[in-house]
Amino acid sequence: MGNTGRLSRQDRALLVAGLILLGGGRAAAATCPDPAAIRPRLGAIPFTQVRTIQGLPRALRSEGIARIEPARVTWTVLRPFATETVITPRGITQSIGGQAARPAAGAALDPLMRSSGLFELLTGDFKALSRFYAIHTERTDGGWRASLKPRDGGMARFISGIEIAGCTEPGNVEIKQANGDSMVITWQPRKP
Amino acid sequence: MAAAQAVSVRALRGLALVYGLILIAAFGFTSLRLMSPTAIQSDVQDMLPSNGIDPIVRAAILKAGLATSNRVIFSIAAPQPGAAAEAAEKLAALLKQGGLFVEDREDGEATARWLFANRNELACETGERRFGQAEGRAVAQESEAALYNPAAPVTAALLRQDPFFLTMRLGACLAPRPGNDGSDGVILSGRLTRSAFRTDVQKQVITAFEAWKVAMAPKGVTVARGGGVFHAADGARTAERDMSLVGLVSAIGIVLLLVGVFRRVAAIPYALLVVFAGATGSLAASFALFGSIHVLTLVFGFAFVGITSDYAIYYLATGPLTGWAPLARRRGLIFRSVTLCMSTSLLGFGCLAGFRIGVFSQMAVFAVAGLISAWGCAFLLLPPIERMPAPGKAGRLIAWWGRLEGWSLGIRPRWLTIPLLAGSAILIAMAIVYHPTTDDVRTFSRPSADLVRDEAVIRARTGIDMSPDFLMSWGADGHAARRREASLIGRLPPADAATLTALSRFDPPPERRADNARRVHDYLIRPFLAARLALLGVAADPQAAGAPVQLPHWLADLEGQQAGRSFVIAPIPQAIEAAVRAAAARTPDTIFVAPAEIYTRAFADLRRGAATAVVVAIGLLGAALLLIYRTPRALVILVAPILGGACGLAASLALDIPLSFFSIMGLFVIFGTGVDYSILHWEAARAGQNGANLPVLVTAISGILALGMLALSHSYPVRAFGIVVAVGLFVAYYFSAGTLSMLRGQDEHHAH
Repeated sequence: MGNTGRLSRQDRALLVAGLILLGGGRAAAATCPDPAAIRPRLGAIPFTQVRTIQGLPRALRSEGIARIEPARVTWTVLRPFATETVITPRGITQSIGGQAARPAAGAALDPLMRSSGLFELLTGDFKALSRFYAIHTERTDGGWRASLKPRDGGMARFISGIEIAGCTEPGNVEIKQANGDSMVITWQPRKP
Repeated sequence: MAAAQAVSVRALRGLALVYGLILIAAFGFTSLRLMSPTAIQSDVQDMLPSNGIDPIVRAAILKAGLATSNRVIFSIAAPQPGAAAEAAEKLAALLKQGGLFVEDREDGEATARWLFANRNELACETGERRFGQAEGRAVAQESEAALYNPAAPVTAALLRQDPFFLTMRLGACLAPRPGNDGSDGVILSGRLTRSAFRTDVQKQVITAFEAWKVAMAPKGVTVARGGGVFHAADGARTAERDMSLVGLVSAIGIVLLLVGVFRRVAAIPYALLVVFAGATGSLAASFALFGSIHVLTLVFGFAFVGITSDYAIYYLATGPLTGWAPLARRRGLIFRSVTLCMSTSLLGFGCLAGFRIGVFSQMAVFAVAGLISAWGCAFLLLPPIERMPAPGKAGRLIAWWGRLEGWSLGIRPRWLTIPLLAGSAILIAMAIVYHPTTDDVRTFSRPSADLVRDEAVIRARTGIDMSPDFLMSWGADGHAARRREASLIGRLPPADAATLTALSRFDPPPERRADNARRVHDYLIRPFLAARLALLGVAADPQAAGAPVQLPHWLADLEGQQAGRSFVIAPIPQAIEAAVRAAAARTPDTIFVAPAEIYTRAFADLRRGAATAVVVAIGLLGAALLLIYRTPRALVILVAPILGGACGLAASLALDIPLSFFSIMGLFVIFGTGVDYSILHWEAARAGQNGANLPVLVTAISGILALGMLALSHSYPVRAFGIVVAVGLFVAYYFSAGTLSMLRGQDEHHAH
């Protein structure tokens, strides 16, 4: 059995590795800036969107590329079929199969959409998001997690909360709807 | 003889008692009625004549007026994020107290339920354009894209029943939606559940709004508001200010007049008693017959009632004239002449009832009841309660009266008569040649500059147009009316048609519904449903019938019935007015209605009709005079009021106020009151009495103070009326004794 009062070589190695990992993780968390201080992401970012609707047997999955610019987000879905949705702080239009852009379905809810902070959500602009949501941030092993609750009473009837995880830039977004539906946007690594 | 006199005294006391009891009962009834919030109305549509306008158009105007006048809208902005929305929530909560206000958001939910229930039978396409293959493919694609759109509100329940989101598509193309100019402001809009023309509703809305503004001011919240209730409240405030100003000036003037002439402060309560009796009779009769009184009736009505003080003046004048003789002699001195005056006044004011306009019928009842009640008070109540002055004072009062009588004759020098006649003739001739008229109701009252500015802000921010104009379509029943409306809309360019909120688009006639349902099935459901359900992994029957849903309240307000016909109305934005007018000209059983144009035409007809009625009234008065006096020379009594009326109109023109219906209305007062002056002089001459001039002068001045002061009103119609009356009464007074003394001079000449 060996001496029970002393750690084996293997145990010591594991302990050191664990300490390194632990120390390294803490060190990584310490290098993740506050979400309010990070800059919005820009550029072309691939994404995967999974929409789970309560009562439907399978989720709706789409893939595409989001082109994020300071004043607009072009949400291009490539699969299952091509659509291009342009989201700005002022409104949302949609083009299907290369046709002319028209107000998107739900555009009649534009005033509501304008209080959703959708544009700011997709760009990860936390400073601007605080206008629309009460934000609670907590540190995690990988970085931070922000929980957002809508300030607007009308929006709160549709969205119960939003979770965003990240570190040096905004990460995946999970939108939880008041009726139990949810939508998860997962950013994929950018192509070199 | 003594027994007959005793019986007569007892009979008069009995009559006085009965009259007093009736007056007390009338006062009690009026007081109770005035406590009701619906006692006073301010709806301008009550001035719309009941004839001269097609009944179905009138009904549509009333319905459209209610639908638009009960709308309220606020555009709220704030510097802090979320503060505008929070402020809007607070304002909505205040307005909703007592169930007074329903937000469009709540109506929007009812509309959404309607659209959902009828989603397979409605279409965005209008006229000959139909839902076809291209539309079906587009709907299928757009709805599939919406499944992946992070902004689209999608639920499983919706997908099972409306997998192609037809409800959302219809909501986007049919339902009115406020636009925005990109500002961060919030729009709060909705409708009042009670009439905006009720004073209690106006008070509740204004009080809530003002309190909210004060509370929000420290947060930098700004607001622009629009709605009929604000215009109505502004109009009511103006009318109240006018009544207060006119009432105050009249009251002060009449008080000074009475004290100056009778040198007894007691003359004031005596005159007030008669005025009170007149007002009580007016109000009681009006409430009993109509239930409520229009505010315009009150403005004119209290001015009419000011004339009732004349009866008190005539009786009080018999005191110094007779040296305070016994009551029977004093009554006997004026009973016949004052009763004749009252009768001719009743004839004059009673003609107002002939116009078949709600508010003018009220004025006729108001004036007639008031005159009769005041006459009764002057002869039954006033004589027994008047306290005689002490003998020493009575002598001084008689002497003062004599001095005033002499002075009053001096202010009407005979040498001025001819030049004044000549000048009047010239003015009248000019007026006959050049007589601008105005009947445009938009010039009758100026909307508040604040409200106009706010509505411009709302239009700029939201695109919402609060125009009162509308399209009316009619038919034998509701379906036929909808067909007409749909036919007209089909003639409009699609972009114009898209801006219309029309009942036929939300609730089409049966044949259109059936056609829409067939097309949705053939071009959308049949080719695309299977693939959609496979994608979603559910089973569904999107065309299964659901529970019936009631037409939303705001849509139901767009239709009505009148004279056995059904009609529907559609508000028309100013931007497409020309296109709709052109289309209505080509579409049978449809008409573009601009209420202001209808009212203007109606008032032009009224003006012409009123002028005819004045001529008829003169004829009736002449016939009455011939009947009473049985000599054609009695017609000279009409000369002074005719001259007064003509000069009143000419003076109005000279002051750059075009003639209108309200100017003609002033002539009724001149003939109703001015003819009294001539009658009193005539009766005095018949009885061989002197001393009629001073009472007539005092009543003329009090009439000018009571009615002529309306020339100070902010309201154009009231101001025009006041000027005609002020000048007309003066001229009627001036010539009342002059024409008769000329006649007497002629008699003396013939006698010699």
